Amino acid sequence: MYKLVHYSIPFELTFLYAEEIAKNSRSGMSGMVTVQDQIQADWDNRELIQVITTSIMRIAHFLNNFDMSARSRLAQLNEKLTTLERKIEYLEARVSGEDLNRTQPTEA
Amino acid sequence: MDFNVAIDEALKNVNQLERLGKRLTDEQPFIEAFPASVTYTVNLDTNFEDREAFVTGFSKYLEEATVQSDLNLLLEEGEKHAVMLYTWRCISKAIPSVKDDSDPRRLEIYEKTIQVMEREIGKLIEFYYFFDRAKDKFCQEITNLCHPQKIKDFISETHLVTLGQLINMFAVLDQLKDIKASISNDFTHYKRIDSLLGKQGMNEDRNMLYQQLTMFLAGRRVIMDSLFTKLSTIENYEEVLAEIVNTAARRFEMKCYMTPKEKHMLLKVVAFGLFLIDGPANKSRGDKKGPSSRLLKMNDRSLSIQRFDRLFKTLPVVPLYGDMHINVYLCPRDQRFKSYELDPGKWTCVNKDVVKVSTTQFNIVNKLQIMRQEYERITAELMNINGSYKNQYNISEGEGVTQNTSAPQFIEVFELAKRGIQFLCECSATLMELYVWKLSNPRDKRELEVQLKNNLLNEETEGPIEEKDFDIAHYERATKYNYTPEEKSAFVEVISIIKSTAALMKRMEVVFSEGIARCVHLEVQDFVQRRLRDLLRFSVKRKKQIIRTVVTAIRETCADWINNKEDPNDPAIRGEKDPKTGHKVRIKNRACGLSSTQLYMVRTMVESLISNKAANKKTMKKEMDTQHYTELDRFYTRSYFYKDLLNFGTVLSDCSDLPQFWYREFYLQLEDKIQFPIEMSMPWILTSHILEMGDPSMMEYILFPLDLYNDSANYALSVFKKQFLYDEIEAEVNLCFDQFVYNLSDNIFNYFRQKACILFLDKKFKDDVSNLKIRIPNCQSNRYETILQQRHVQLLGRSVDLNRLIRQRLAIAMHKSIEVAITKFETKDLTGIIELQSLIGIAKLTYQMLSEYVTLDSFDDIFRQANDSVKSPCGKITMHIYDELNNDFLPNFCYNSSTNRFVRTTMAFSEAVHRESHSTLKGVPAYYTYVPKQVSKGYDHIHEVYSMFVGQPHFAAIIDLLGYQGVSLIIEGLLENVRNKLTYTLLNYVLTLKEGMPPELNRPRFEYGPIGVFEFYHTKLESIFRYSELTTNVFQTIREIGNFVLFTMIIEQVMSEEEIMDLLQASPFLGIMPRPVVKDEQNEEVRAMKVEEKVKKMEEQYSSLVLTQIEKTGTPEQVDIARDSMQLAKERLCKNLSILSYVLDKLRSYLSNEGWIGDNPPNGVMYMDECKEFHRLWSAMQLFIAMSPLMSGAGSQNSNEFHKGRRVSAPSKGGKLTKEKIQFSPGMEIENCPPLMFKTEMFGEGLHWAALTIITILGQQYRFHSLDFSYHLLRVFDEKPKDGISCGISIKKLVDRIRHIQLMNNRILSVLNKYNSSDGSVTSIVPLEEVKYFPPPIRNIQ
Repeated sequence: MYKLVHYSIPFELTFLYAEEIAKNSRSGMSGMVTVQDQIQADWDNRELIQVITTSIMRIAHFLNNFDMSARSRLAQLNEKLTTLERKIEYLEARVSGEDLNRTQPTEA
Repeated sequence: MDFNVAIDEALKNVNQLERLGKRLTDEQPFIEAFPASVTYTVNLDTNFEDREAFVTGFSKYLEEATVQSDLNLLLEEGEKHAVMLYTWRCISKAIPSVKDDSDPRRLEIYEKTIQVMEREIGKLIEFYYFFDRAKDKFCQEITNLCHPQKIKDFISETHLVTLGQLINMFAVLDQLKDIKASISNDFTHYKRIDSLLGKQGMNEDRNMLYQQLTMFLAGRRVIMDSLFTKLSTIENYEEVLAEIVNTAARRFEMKCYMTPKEKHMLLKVVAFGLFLIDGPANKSRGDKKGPSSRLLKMNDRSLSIQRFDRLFKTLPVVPLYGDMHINVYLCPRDQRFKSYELDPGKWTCVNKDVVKVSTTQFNIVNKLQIMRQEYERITAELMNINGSYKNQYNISEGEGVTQNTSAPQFIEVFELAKRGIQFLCECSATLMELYVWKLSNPRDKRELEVQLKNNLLNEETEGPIEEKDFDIAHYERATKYNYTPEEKSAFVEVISIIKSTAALMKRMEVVFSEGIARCVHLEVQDFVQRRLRDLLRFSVKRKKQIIRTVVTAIRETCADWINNKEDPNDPAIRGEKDPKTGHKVRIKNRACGLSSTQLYMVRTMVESLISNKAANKKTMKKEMDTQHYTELDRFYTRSYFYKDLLNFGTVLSDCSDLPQFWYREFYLQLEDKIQFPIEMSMPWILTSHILEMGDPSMMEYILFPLDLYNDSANYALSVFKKQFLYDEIEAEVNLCFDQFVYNLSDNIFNYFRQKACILFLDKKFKDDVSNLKIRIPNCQSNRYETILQQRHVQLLGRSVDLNRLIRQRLAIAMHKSIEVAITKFETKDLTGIIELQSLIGIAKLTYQMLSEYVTLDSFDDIFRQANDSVKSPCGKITMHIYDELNNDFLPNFCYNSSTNRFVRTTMAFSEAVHRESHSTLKGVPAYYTYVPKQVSKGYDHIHEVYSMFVGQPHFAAIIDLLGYQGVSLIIEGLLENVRNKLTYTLLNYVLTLKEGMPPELNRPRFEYGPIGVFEFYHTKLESIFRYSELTTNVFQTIREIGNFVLFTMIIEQVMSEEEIMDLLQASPFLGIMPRPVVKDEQNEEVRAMKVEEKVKKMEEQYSSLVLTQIEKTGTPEQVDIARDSMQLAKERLCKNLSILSYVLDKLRSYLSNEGWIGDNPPNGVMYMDECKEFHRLWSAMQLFIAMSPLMSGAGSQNSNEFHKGRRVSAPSKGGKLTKEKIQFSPGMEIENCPPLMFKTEMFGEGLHWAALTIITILGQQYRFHSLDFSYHLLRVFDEKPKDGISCGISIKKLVDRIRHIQLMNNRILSVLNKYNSSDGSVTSIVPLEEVKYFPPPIRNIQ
């Protein structure tokens, strides 16, 4: 799968972006925060949201994969254990009942 | 808890997670729908909540957005009401009825009823209010749009579609309400009880509400009719509706839809929209306005009936909601269009021929071919993308993508996503349409009844066929009997195509969503920032104000500038041309799409520029150049798909979910039933179809129809939100899954058993049979491995280990097959052991094949469990063989040395053997014995051959099945039996007969000639010959002993063959080299040297094979094992252990009584003429044996006829030997009847073997040889060959017989002598050699 591009600017600041512009504007430039600035800020916010949702999606996919592979392994393990348990039961039955003909060469 | 993790950290962690995830692989093949334990869906659709933010757009469209958001909310609410109506089950039926007014509990019942029903009735009231509101809102909107100023104005397509969706909603609610009669029944019941209780009293409002509600619920088509009435009050409303209808039709024709729901909705909008335009035909003829159809009027102008007619023909039946359908092509007739009433010729789709034409259209088998090809192509491309996008998209950080670098990767991803979704939509839609088509055209009832009756007649039924009335439900006719097998197969395949494509796409959801987001962003920004520049320049230059405003608005609404604001130096803004070097616009690269509001605004504004309709008839189109127009148009068509694809996850699941195949609320209502059995349920019909067909290509699809249950259950919980539906689904799945596993494991076992049976069948037999042109079928291979490897099948949220379930069943089947083999053997005599051997061989082969895929207990374990030999060394097989030997083989079989076989005697002297009856084997499925049928016949033929005799193959089988332990047990047991016979039965007879022997019997002289000799013996031994029990009990006992000795001998022979084979195979490991071949050399010494050389070379070469090597390299346990096995092998070589010697020694110990030996002879050497020893008795009997078959005359006939009366015919098995068998009980008194005549086939050679064994053991063989009566007769005859008749017997023939007997005796004695020479370990009563020293006679010297 492809890797996500890492952004250098920390995202927490984008929320304050508009306010900063407002500060800047008060210091030098004109007027209030325009709709344009708001829309730009909106783009950034939405991108952040997208990144987070994609990451959560990836986590969800990973969980599903992990779930399936774990189940598969556990099932195999279960199978081995069951076989062994059966074998033990069988051997116990064989050993407890049979005390004749021990000296004969045992060949099935 | 505070988790302050920076975003960067979090993203790094997610990457780590993915790297980790790569190493976790799931090894099983992927044959089910996407297994999602966790689902995560993102819905970024804001429903225009954020419209206030985008004031940059035209305010007109903002208002439209407001209206749209309200309408969307209405649609959501309507969906909820539709759910409520669809899942309504009749409540009043479940309530206990009050029998009469005097019932004391009636008040309680009434109050409880009210309490229970109040909530549901509340929902109905809410529905009624909702309808009022919705109707008002809709009509208000139409009124707004029909305003004389606005009517010519452009309405955005999205808005039209939303209005169309509302029409659809009304129609659906209308149909749902009409169909569910139980709703109005329930309400009536509630009202009645409420009034009976009389609590509320005279609440005027409530009464009026109830009355209105009754009318509302009871009437048919109330919703649509009232809507029509209200609409017709609006002037020119039909123009708007015509636009809606035309838009929907256009979209349908151009395939502008992304989900099947949308597709069907469009068609329904057309149908019901036309109804609202046209209106229902009034019944009353006295209509003042006169019957006129608006539709007909508009036919030439804005609407074309022909177009819609054609449309209805292409898709005649459309799913309405759940399992309900609507016959769109019959709409004009059913909905009573005015235009249809007035001019039926216009609506050709109503004709019945449409039905026939459409059956070809719904031929899923043909469509499947195309689907398969497309599926393969899409899968290939999906895999391609999955593989190639391992690296990140080639973007450098922070910079934008310049104009020259195209981003084909994103566009490819986008295109593939779009194509995939459209493909899925098409497949799902085809499936649903087929399903509802079948529902609307169920199988003809009468034809079905006829066919079912024929089926019953064709099946092999026992007894008279009942003429029963077939109670076939409507639903059954629509589902179970309505699909041909090819259609079912095609259905299954389409489902699997849909599910697997969806699973593949879901796995790549991350790639897709990011790719789509980037692509959308790129394309939109490309359009807005670059392509619109031209138009902007054009509009500024040419002073087209409107266009300029619109374009600026577009740019302001959704542009994402790279410097966070528009480039002020862009020459296009001022209307100037670009400089010669070109103006570069760099676009920021973001991975997120537009907001839904932004998209809507942009699209609507672009649409306004390109639309054909505008206020004042002044379209923008005329004012632009064609190139601008094409740009705008291209963007507009392409951007239609953005909305759905940005919600990739949701639209994917919409297209691939197939929940409606299980729901049957409509039919339950129709037939007034609580539920239908699973045979009528589509998912189960499809699954059992695959299992029955056993078609290998379909076997891997078997889990996909079960996924339909998953979809339906999901719907029940999340959409319908009704627990009882989920409970019903769960119950059905429990039942179905049990049957599924049961049938599947049966199929699997059958398949492997079949393979084993065919493989195991003797090759030569197969060749011979094929020469006779009888075909033994070759087993068709099947793909069960993928199913057997499934370890986590997701079913109703639970994970099922299919491998484990099947494994359990297979183990049971394995066990049962061996049990059945043993039981079968127990119903047969000893000859059945060959069949037992083959059955167990087949079982072993089946086991080997199965254990490649499934781990089972070891075969030996299973065998021992089935044989009951886990705790005791003696299993069922051993027991049965012992029984058979004891009761059947020893008494009843005759040995023949020329064939080395035992054959059953014609006259049995023992009780019939009781065996297990065949009834225990009834009802056993064929795969426990032989499958398929021809193979079964083959095996029966082979085994029949073995059933006529007992010989070497049978003994080999005994050894194979019992092993050393079993054989030793049997021989011990039989020895005990023989001991009894020897020491009691036979001894008594011997003692009795001895008294009948003459005290002295010397050999007559040669001069008497053979006749004289014979007559002499005959007279002397008369009493023996006349002994009645001679031929019956005496010989019988002797025969049994003889059979036992023979049995031991042959068993030993066969065992030694096997041992030799074992030794040969072991010899390389013991260091024993074969003799090397050396060229002929004259010189003996040179030759010996060469041989030695070669032997040394070979020993060096193979020295690493010798077991003793392990002592150098192995662990202590391995060394011990090696030493033990070498000792075992060497003992076999050296010790020369023999069973027969052991047996003979034991027998010797039983023969200790004096009766056998006689006392010490007075002359110190031996008895000459006295008949005190056993061999004398045997000589008499031998003479009797020799002469008896030759006796002719009345005597023999009488005796035979006397015994004839006792004939009991026993049923014979093979059908070939039908000689009657005479059965005698051992203690029967037959002293007064003449003795039975001896025949060879009564006793076989066992007789002679036994006697000679006794004689040899006692050391009397030489005496026997010289003193025997018959031998004497033979010698006399050789001297004087004089034939004659004496006592009715021809001497020559007698002598011939005696000669034969002598040859046989010699042979027997030579074998016995070999084994008799034991090493004297057992106490011998008679020493082997006894030398008595007699001093020479003392001579009197005179």
